[in-house]
Amino acid sequence: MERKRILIAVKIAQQIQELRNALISKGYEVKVVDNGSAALALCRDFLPHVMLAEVELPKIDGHHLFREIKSQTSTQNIPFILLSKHRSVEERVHSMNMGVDDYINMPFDINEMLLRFEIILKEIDRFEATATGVSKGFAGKLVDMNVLEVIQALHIGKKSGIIKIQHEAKEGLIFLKDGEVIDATLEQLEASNAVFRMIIWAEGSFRVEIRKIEQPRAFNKLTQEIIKEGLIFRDRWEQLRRALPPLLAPIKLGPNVARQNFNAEEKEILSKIDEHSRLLDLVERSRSNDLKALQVAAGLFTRGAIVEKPAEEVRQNGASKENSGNLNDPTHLSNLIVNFIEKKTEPAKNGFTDRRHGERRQIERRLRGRRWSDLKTQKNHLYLNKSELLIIREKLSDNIANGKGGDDQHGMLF
Amino acid sequence: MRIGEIAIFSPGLETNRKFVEAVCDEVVLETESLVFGRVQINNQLVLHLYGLKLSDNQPNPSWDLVSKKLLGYVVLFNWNQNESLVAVKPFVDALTARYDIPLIVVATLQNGQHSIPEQIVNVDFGLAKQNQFTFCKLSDPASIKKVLISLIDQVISDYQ
Repeated sequence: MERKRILIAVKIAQQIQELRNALISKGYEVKVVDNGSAALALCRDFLPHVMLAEVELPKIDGHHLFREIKSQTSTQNIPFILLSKHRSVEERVHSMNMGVDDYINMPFDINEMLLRFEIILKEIDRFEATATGVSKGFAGKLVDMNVLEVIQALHIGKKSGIIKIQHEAKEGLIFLKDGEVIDATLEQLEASNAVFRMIIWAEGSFRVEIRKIEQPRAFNKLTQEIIKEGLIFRDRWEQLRRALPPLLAPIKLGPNVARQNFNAEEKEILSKIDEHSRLLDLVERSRSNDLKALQVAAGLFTRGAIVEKPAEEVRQNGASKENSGNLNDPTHLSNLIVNFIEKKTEPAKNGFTDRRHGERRQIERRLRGRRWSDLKTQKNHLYLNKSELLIIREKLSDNIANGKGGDDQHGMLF
Repeated sequence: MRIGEIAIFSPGLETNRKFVEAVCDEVVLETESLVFGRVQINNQLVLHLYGLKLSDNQPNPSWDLVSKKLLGYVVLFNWNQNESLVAVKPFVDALTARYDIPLIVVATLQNGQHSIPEQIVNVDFGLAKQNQFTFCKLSDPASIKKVLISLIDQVISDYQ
């Protein structure tokens, strides 16, 4: 049986001597280098099953090393674990957003590290065992080949596989079986809306994995129809977009909005406008499909019910935020705390505002800095998207409903 | 392959094992401080459960992280053992004081009976509204699955 190979890149090799010995005694083949450049060179020849690298490496740092390894076809599938002495949430989030497979703080616990290796390697084995159909694939940028063209290529070749599309922090999946699109996921969107949203993405990258696909069909349409509709969808989207301010421009309600009558769709769009809205937000938040929502928004824009925020106003808002206080200033910090305590006596505006019992805990958290909810503003804070969470939920619920869950007659759960 | 992870903490490994075994298709790995199990959701999606034993000195901080795949925490204690509650309370305090990570505190019961309102325990822990307190019966997989569903609901609510 092939020995699993592990490549470790750390600035001071002695620091991981114990780990190295433990890995060797577990039967792994381990190579250790002390800089990023050597790690990159060795990685191509050694082709490790797992790569462990410190962030602070000489020559090429851990982040760059990760990018280099992931950018090369021969090494892009090697699981990458980052090791860092920094404990800041920002550093972690940054690394996670880059797509590292795991992130471990130094000093680490040897047993935990061994366990993490073991889990990753078992996962690879299992994945390889189940995905025997995986043979090849290709990748590229959307600017060179858009989503419709990728679908078309697979459709013509009657291929089965998954198209993984990345745009900013979002990742969408399109599943094809024998050249037919059978399902798609993107955040909480249902299959058809997910595909059409991805069709309008002009920037980002895609990766195609040719493999056997077993999941059930979620699309009623033939792929030819999807491609045809997609082309029309994209053309109309572009036409509308050209007649509007940039989709990322801040907008607000127009001055004469109160004197106008609106239908239900228009009211829905208008109700989504808040202080920080952009046109794209309205489209994405709408219950209608993206094109319909953009059409409605365009109509509202033409009627003056929505207007672009003047640059001056945007600057002022930005400035007021920037000048809202320096966290290092003790006076400002005390004011924040006093404001916070006063706010607590007001009724909660929504479920999120009344989150925690006890002022002490709230203040402590504010003093300590970032909260999990703050991380939501960071891109891709959660690895799984909403549809995947719903699938997990459904699977767990199914087991209960089908009686696989055992007795549930005591009614203990609230 | 897409993976979601849930960390389950309790003072006793046996409790963790029962919890993980009740839900997982297979218990992949078991050591003196960890039970690791996997639930295959579909071809593309897997749920990993890490049953971790709480030590006197708090768990290894590396587990207490905003992990890429970590959905949230389940903290278990034995309703009938005061020392079990005492053991988990500082851990829950430490977790809730740091982040709003989805968390569910679970009192395990042997016979499924209890008479104390959840609010009393909830106040004692100082839990946020979304960090639920609940009871469950370790011998009943449905009850355990409901705990996980509640946790997933918390995560989903963060998307609203």
